[in-house]
Amino acid sequence: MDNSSDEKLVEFFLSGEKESFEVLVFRYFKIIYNFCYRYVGDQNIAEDITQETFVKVWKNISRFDKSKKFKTWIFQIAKNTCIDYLRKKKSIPFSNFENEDGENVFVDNFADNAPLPDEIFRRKDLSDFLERVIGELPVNHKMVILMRYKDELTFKEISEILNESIDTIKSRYRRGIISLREKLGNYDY
Amino acid sequence: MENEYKKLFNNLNEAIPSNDLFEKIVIRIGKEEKLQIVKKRIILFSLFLVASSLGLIYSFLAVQDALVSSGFAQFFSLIFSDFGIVAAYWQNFAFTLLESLPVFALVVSLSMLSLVLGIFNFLLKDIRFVNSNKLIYK
Repeated sequence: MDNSSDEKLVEFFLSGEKESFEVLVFRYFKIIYNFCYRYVGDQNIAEDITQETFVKVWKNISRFDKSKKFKTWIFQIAKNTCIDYLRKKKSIPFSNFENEDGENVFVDNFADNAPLPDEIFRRKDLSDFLERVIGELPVNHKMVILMRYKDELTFKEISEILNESIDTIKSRYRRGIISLREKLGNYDY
Repeated sequence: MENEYKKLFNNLNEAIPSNDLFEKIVIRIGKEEKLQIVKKRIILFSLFLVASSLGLIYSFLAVQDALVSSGFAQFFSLIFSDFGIVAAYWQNFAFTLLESLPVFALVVSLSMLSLVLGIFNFLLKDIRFVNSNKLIYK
């Protein structure tokens, strides 16, 4: 059962094999926890939201559209749960999650194919450094970049999860990468 | 370039959840499962409570009618109007009272009462369980 696809596990669960849901939980709890932590920035709250996310998944699993990917669906639920929490707390301006208006031709056509400075990879404190640099990015840029590289989601999947058009996601990604490169360049190595 | 970013972000530390997060999630889902059953039971018990309360009212009215029609009420009222005679013939009087007692109606009525109290007790327990399990962003 452990090697079955997510969608197969959902099927098993719906046909009465309760353990298959535990396999899904085990497969995703760290990923979802990290995703939530990036949104809310507090470990305890991220744990609460992770629990809440899995409860919502469990409650709504019969409504899961089998033609879609489970991974996208669970991320959507996690994102909505994080936003619900942030709405309640009003800790960050909600406009951060809204659509960006207007397009930036330069940004949209930006080719991010310049190599990263080698010095970056030689840093001993690379993880802390990266954490700091990423933390300075706007929330919606940071989320897209991390979903792309940490959660290994495609732009299409990210756009489905965040409920935004694929162009908006790509635009955020490019803006984020530009800011990231600027910030990486501004540090002394 | 994609690979270079992937390589870069591989160096980003993962946030590590507490050791028991997995267990917490499984326990929480178990609780939610129980909570769902209890919520359904609350609806069922509430319906039973309404139905049995109506039954209780009806059975009380039936006992009241039976007490009048069997003559029990009239015999009983002698205690207040002719206590001397009641005291003199107390054995016969007690026998007459027992004989005229609407036993069946009383048994039905008391059964209904215990049923209502029993359902009410279960309902309170379930409501307490639901209230004590209202988690979300403490």
